Amino acid sequence: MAQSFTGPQSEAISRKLGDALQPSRLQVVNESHLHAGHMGNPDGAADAETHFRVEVISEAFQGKPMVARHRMVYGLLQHELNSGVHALALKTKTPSEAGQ
Amino acid sequence: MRQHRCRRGRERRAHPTGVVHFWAPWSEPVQAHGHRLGQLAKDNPQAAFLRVEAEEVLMCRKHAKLHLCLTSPSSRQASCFTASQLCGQGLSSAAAAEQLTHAAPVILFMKGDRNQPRCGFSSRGLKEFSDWPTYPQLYVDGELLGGSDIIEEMQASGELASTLQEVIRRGTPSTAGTVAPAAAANGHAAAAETQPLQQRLQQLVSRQPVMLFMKGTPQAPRCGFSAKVVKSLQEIHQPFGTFDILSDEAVRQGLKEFSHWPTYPQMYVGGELLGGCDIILEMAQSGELQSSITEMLPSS
Repeated sequence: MAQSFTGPQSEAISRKLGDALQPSRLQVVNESHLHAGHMGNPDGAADAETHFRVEVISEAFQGKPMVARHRMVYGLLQHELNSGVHALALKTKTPSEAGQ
Repeated sequence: MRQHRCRRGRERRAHPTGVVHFWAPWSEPVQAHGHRLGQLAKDNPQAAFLRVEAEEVLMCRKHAKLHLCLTSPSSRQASCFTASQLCGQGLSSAAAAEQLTHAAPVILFMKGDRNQPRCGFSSRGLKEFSDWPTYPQLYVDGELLGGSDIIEEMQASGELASTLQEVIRRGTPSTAGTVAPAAAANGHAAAAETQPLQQRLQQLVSRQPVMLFMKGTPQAPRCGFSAKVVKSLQEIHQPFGTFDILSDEAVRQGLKEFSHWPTYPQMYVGGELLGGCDIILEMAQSGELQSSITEMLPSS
């Protein structure tokens, strides 16, 4: 995997999701460099934190449809979404769905 | 370049049957629009089709009457004029109106590129004109029929051509007095102008059984995520409507709050949010997309 910048946004995302969802697995990957020149990351700066791929495995998602799970995550990350994070690619599973 | 004002009065003695295509050389979508318009022009020889380079003219503001500032058209025959050709004619505004005249009051205002802030129209002009913040705008009998999605649907179903032909047929030069609004100018006209945003959003998300709010259009997506969702839907041959949220800032921001969903694309089925790109793609991959959509569709 390409080295990507881990900065304040990455940390905030990890911390907030970690605290709220108590995930059995949490992966936060900065993919901003893949979107350099695009709308959310027009300058393609090396320290851009605009596009993230997030994978969360958590019991908190049990019984919730996909759209509700994503809403939970978006709700937790409102501040980040309003302060430069342009896109979040989300994978949300329960432990059993993930085969854990 | 001279700019002319031509006022079209309430007495509809002279109804422009015109399609005015405003375009910009930097815009890609204009090619698609231009091609479609070219086809319409061929199919509707009595109508005048004008191509006007957007930055070369100024538009006047909204009114119940049409205030149209543009350079003069030169002839009644159906053809496409460039702004420079129009300019060269040097006709007065009254003559311009006269020249535009044929029959029924169908005016389509199209902008080559809705998203370029450099274009003077996007901030003032026609948006104020119609209280409809996006382009294109189709007017029938002076009433706003709708915007691009409606026009595209009408075009796909053949209704656009037949509507044009119908009003052309109806509104001959000898017709005097007021003309009853075209059947097609239904609730969209009044609704678009006066309804509050929430209501409009509620209607928009239910406008088609499957509605995709995306960046750009299926033919010209402006975002990789949007493009992927379009592709997923096309792969399962699922018909769907679209709305270009880049063309409408009010909807773009309002819908995010409305649905508590901060990103685009957003796909609605039966007026309910199914999800964004990740959800759609995941469902597509697991083969669940069609069944998920079917489950959410309102039972007919």
